[in-house]
Amino acid sequence: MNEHHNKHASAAADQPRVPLASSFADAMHQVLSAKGWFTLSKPMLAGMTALCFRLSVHRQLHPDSATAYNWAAEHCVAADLIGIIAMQGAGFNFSPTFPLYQKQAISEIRRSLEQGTGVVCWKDRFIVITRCDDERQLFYYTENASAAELELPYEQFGRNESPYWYGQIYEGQIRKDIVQVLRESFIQAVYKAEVHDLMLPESQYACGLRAYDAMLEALADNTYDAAGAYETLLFYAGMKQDAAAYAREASQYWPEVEGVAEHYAALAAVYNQITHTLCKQTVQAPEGPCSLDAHSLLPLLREAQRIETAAIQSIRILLREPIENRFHDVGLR
Amino acid sequence: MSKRTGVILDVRMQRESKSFTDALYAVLTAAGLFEGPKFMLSGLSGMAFKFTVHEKLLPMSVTAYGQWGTEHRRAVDNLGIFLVDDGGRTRHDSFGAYQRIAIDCVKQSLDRGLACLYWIPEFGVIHGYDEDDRVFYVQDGWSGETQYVLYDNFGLNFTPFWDCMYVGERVMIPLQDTVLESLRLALEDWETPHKTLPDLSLGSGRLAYSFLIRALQQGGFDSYGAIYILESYMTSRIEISAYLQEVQSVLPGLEEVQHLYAKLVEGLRGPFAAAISEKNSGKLLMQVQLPSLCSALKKALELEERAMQQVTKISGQYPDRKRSTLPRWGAHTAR
Repeated sequence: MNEHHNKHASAAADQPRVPLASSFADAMHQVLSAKGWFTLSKPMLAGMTALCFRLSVHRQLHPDSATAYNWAAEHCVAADLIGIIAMQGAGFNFSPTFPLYQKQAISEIRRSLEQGTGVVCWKDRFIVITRCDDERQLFYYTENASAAELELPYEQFGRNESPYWYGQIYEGQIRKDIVQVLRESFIQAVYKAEVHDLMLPESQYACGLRAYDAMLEALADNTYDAAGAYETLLFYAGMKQDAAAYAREASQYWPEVEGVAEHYAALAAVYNQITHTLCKQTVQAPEGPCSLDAHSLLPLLREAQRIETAAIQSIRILLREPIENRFHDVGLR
Repeated sequence: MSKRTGVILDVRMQRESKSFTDALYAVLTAAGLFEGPKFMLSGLSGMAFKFTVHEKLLPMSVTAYGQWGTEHRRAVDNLGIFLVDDGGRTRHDSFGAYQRIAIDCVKQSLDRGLACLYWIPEFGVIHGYDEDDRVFYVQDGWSGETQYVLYDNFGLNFTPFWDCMYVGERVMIPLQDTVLESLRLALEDWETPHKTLPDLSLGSGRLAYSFLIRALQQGGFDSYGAIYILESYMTSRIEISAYLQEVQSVLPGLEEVQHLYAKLVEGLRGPFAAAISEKNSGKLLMQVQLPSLCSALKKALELEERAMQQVTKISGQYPDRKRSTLPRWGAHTAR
């Protein structure tokens, strides 16, 4: 356990302290806005796809907390919610059939690039493949919209440090009514707050509002992975900023959601304080975050839990009828 | 006379096993992607072990063994074969767009000489198309006859979902690895009580036995479904027994599992023959035989439990990276 801590702590110390896991929504927005298929802001995409409403953590806040979720299920729903026609593939790169899937993926990605559409892939984080060079047999990709292009040889596609390969290709779009999209996204927010991700063993991971209990317990009992906790909290702070910006902007199209937006604004403010607390500590202890200021973080997380619970409750009241029509399966469209 | 555009592949699907297994066997053998009898495909893919029962013994039990995307991917993956699984809910407003893409994909697959698996329901094969008439040729495996599905009706059926699968190339996986993985797939099915959460009306593996026995004892079940479930279950256990007979020397300790399944099948034959009577008009479940059928099923449950304990022991002898690594896909609730 301690070795694990130190490894992450020293790795974090060598690198600039930015959230390591850029989110899937960033990559998706980069591709769709370049293509002209999504013209609104990134928070609007993060919200309309319901991606920014996911909250799931490893119970000891391991660094995988931000990305351990059912990509196949969540990203498929995300595209469908905003009327984007998408195909995707995922698997273990150690599987004997991986070479077959890699070959197919390379050919599908090249086809998509020919049509001028970037492709979101997993390269130990979500990246965007922007171009390819058949002569040199390589892809060019970016880690975020403003970063320089990097090279990825075709045969390296999917051969990651993590055991996964993943890609999502966008094929087109259908017309959607924006207010319907907004309504559905908030229903999905309720689903994500209340339903555990079946892919994650409940003994090790907690989802939705229950993630707060896990975070509070790990911090109170000092059973957390410090570097992982640091990254995880910064990552979710970013998601809450998106959620707040989304709810605010959404109320321009759908004024009834203003009350919900106020809760998310308050939630984002608390996460700002959390970020501030995390960064202050980094300045004080530049050798690396071996432990967090749990004393300051605990009341802030309790406050965040209270506000996010109220936010979900306000959505339940606002969308009572469509939610109740779904009986015991809030997420089922 | 103008030349008609289209393809007809020589594929013959025959319903004997689960519909997915029958369709897959037809597609793969026609394409030269699988050699050997159907029970080997059913065993190696883990499909034979799948056993799910609805509490009212509805006929849908036989295909409700999990989320198809997850189950079928892993089944076909263990045969070393590439698979694309395309599907969704026909009520979603994106269905039309996905339907158009899928129609093209089916035609491309057929043009390459590969038939497709298609939810009719149940699973069947698409083995040809005619571009002028805008129809696909479909077999359900019951009659030898071809059905016609208009492009415009592709995917539409009385269930809420559509599903279509295309196969591709194959890699060779060592037999021992495939057999071991098939046992692990079996074990997972055995130990997962509900494979389509949040639905609790379907029980799988060990729990499927309880659901079946309880319904037979209490009555008020779907009688067509009961016969279909019982026959499908019996066929699967015969397949498992034949499969294990073939591969029992591949892994130490597997002989014992084979013995248990052989014994299970022997014990069921009599009570099954007595309980399901063939009449001119069809098959009938004999009420008076149900108590002895239930006690035979209870014995079968004990034997299968022992078999799975032995499988657990065998599995524990070898590292299992697929199950010790958390995936980023798989089980989820339908959305």
